[in-house]
Amino acid sequence: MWETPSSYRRYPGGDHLPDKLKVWRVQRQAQDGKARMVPPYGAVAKPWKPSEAPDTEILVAGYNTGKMDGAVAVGREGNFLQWGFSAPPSKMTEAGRVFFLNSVCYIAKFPGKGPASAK
Amino acid sequence: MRMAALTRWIGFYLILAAGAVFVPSTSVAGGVDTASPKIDLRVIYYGHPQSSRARDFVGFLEKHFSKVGQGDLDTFRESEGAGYDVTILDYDEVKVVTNYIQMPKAIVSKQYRRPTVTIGATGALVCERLGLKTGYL
Repeated sequence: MWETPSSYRRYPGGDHLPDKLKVWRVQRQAQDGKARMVPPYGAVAKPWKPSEAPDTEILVAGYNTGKMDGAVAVGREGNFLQWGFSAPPSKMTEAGRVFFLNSVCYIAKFPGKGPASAK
Repeated sequence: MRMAALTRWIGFYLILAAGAVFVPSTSVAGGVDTASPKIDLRVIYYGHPQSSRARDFVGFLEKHFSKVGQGDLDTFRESEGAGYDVTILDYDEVKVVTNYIQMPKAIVSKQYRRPTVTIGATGALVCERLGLKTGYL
């Protein structure tokens, strides 16, 4: 259980979230195992964005300290899969490594499918 | 401190997605046994050459995929992905100079159709440049 980031409270529904959230860890954190923000930083996207274009999907939401609950950590649009986590494989958890391998295998199924939003 | 500066100056959110809220997806189900024989996919990784991060990724990929290539994200050309099933675009930590995020050009056209994994903040910026929903704001 991790503390609910204060940024979550600023968005609709955020004030109803519990003080702590259950998370599934994809990567290990700082060396001391306490600090959570370690470079290189990852990225998440706004959760409503995938609904704005066809052939998009949210694969997992990501715990973050700048946006909202449900922000997209891993998502796909057309032939692009964005893996928002920052760690290299040696710093991923075992589950994270398997998820990463699955993600590479998954996007291989989308050759020739261009993203509708590309400009 | 750097995180705060990036957020304040640029309005982007560089976020450490350190742990995913548990939202299992059937889309990626099927499982990959990391101890099983190599996966029959050809993967090419573009990143920061000679960096420990690039070695980390390439070493891992070589353990699991039948063919692995690597290249420099700074000189990435779409045509170089021919002969590979999946292209991975990654880099080291992005840098901020005079209020602008600096990273390799990594020019990708809207006609690009190869399966591609973009990673971290660099990946989000690549997606953003293309106007994808997986990018930043």
